[in-house]
This record gives sequence, C-alpha cells and structure tokens, in this order.
Amino acid sequence: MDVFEYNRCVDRFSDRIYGYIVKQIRDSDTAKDIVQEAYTKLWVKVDSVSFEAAKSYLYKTAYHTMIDLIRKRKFETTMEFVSHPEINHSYSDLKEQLETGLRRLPEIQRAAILLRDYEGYSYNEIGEILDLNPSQVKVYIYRARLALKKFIGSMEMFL
Amino acid sequence: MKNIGLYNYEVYALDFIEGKLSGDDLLVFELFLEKNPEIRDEIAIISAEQFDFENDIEFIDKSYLKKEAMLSDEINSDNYQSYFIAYLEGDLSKKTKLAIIKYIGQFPEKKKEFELISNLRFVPDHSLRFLNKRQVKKTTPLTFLYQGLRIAASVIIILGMAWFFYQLNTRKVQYSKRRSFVIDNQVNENKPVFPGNKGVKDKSQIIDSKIITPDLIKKRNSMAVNTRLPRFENNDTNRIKLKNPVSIAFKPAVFIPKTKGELHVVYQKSNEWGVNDETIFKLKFPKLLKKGKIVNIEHESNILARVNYNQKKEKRKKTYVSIGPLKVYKTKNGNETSNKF
Repeated sequence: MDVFEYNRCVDRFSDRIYGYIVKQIRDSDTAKDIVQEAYTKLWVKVDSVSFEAAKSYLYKTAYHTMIDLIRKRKFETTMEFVSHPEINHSYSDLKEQLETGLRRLPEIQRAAILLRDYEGYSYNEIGEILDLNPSQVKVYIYRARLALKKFIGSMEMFL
Repeated sequence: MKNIGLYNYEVYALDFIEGKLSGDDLLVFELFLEKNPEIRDEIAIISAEQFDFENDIEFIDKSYLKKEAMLSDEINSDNYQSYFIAYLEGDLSKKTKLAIIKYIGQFPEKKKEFELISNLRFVPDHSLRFLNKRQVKKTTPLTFLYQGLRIAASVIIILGMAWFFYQLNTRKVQYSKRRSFVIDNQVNENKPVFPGNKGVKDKSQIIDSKIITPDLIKKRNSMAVNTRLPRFENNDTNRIKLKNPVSIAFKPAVFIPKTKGELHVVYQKSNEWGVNDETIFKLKFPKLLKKGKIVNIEHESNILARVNYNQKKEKRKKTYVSIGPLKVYKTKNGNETSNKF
C-alpha cells in the first residue's frame, strides 16, 4: 500500500471506525485517540498491509487499542454499568432502547454485533478482527441479540 | 498453550464465570488472574451482579450453531428465539426458514417477537465524523511534487484561458474595424486623420465610413462564382465607394499575414462588384504594413481591396488573412501626400 492508498484509507474508513469505537466507549476524545493510534500502526506496517486488507486491519487495531486503553484508564464499561444499574424504560423509540441495550452488553458481544451490523462482516472476518474463532463469534452475536431482545421487552411497547 | 492477555481475556472470562472453562484454558486463565488481580476483582463483581437479562438467557449450544444441519431439531417454545435470530443472521437453509414461517403460522403470538428480533439491528451513525483526518494523513516529497504539478497545471490553464480570451477579444476588435467605406467627398477639417500624428493632421482627412451590408457581400460572392476572382469572405475585403473624383491614399492599418500573397486594390467603374475589375496597384505581403499608395480616382467608381494568396500554397490550405481596416485618406487639395505612409 502506498501513501496515496493510505490516505484513501483515512478518507474512506476513519469515520466508520470512529463511529464504531464511539458507540462502544461513548467518549469522543478517547475514540479520536484510538482511531489515530490505529492509523499510526497502519502507517508503520504500510508496506506489508494491502489496501484491500486495510479496513479489517484498522478495525482490529482500533479494537485492541480500545481494549488496552480501557484497561489502562480503568474505563471498564461493565463497571460503569454496575455503578448505574437502574434501568430506564422511558425511552421514546426502539433505536434509543437498542443504544441503551448495547451499552449493557459485555464488551466482546458489543464489538461483535456492531461489526456484524455496521459492516456486514462474516463470522470469519469478525473472528479475525476480534481474535476469536467463527463459532465463538456466532455465539456472542446470538447471545447479544437475545440479550437485547430481553432488554427491550415486550413487543407491545414498540409495534 | 494459549496466550491470555488484556486484549482477549474477556472471551475466557465469560466462560470462566459460567463454569465452562476447563483443562489448559482454566489453568492459563487462573495464572492470568494471578498476574492481574484487578481483573479478578472485576470478574468477582460481574459474577456477583451479572446482568439480569443475561442470566435469563438460555444456554445456546455452540455445537448446534456451528452447522446448519445441527439446527434440524424441531422448533419449540424453548429454542424458537435462537431460530429467529438464525433466520435474521441468514444462517438457515430454505427448508428451515419455511419451518420457522410455519411455526409462526401455528403460533401467531410469536410473530411479534419475530418482528422485534428482526428489528434488532444497529445502523451506523453517519453524523459521527472523525475530524482529525488531516493529522492522520501522510505527505511525502512525491505528494508535494504532485501538488506542485497540480498547481502548475492550474496556473497554465488559467493563463492559457486568459491568453485565449485576450486573443479572441483582440480579433473581435480587429474584425470590427474591417469595414467598407463610402466616401462622401465631404472633407471634415476638424476630424483628425492620424490620431496621435500631428504632422499630417492638417494635410489630410480620414473619410467617413459605412459598413457594407451582408447582402452586398452576398451579391459580390455570387458573382465571383463565374469569375476568376477569389471568393471573398466577409472578413477578406474592404470596399470603398467613391462618388466624386478624389485623390485617395490607402494603407492597410493592421495586417498580420500568415502566408505570402498580394493585396489588390481594384478600380471599378460600374456599381457591380466582381466584374471588369482593374487593379490599380497591388501590395505584396507580409511586408504590406510598410507600404502605402496614393491613387487618383477621376469619377464615381468602386474601389475594392481583395486578397490573393500564393496559389500554390492555397491549393492545400486556405488561410483567412486579416487585412484590418483599410484606411482611406483624401488629400486636402487633391495632391499627393508623401508623408502619410
């Protein structure tokens, strides 16, 4: 990948990866740092990463950078959930409910389901990004959807 | 032995919490927890206060999720949600999909749940923008080179267009000056002859002019078909019509020939253009600009300036030649004025 393709990666993927990270940590400044760090790592390996593989590489790097950063800063979102366990059922629409439900999912499930829905990645591709095997990915996604369904509750509220 | 670190421990942590970790994995994970006591605390909290909804989820048998064939169990009230999700994920065969539709038909109350699960999809928020693109992008000397080339190309294009429009405008001015004249023999003493040339101001007059109509040009061209004269274009000739005997002088004011040829000044007694032409004098170009001629015209006649090109060259290529405004001067007393040209 040359410098022009690298810059194209910035134009084409940075918004999506940024959105992917923001959805998980809900901290725009940290998300910017993470995306920036991912691109820095991509630049280091610019000669060995092809343009076609760059998107997955960026997602993977961003995800692991996010995990590392969360650990370092002790921003564990599940901890945050534990400290704010109340459930607010006064949401206006399904989208808001989904967003709230997403925040309550375990990190790995959240990462997997967002990759599935945002990018339409296959189980294999998600597995490569998250360092999981495809079966694990599938299980996490199924669990996440069931959890969301449970969280959102009865259909009568929305349909 | 597997490596368990901060980047992947959650995968094992969940299985650990659920008591599904065994063998080497359990041993490695225990070692990891010893090295990372804060993770152990975290897992203890999660274990103690596991999400309620998470606890309610029935265990999904990983084995049957691996292959479609394993999902051939009959759909029932215990597993229908997994089937609905599998339907949403596109993991089912056509046959199993039909089985789900049939199941929903049998239990209409499940339809709403099916629809809810179908709506459990996340859509990217396109309003979220990564604003640090510039900081992330890289530039190289090659980039600067390309940028420089782009700028240079833009400048060349702009200058080229400016030059083109300047030329176009200049030509328009030149063409607008091409005209035919009708000499009315009325000497206007107050009219300057050579603007900016005081030496000839009192010796000659520039003659009032009038543009010959397109119809006249058309008529002339139609007659030229049957003569040896070249067919005149609107821009090729200047014509002067004299009403009374005068002495006149000619000077092509602007002449930028691109080929060799001659400018003929033709004298006509009739009012018809193109017949019985008699060349009064001819000027060779491209040195035409330096030459001039004084001609005595005795009575009413037409004066025509026409351009003859080098025939050998013009057989191959016709060139439009600008002869510019053919200025016509009338001497004050009918005498020659040698200092005009």
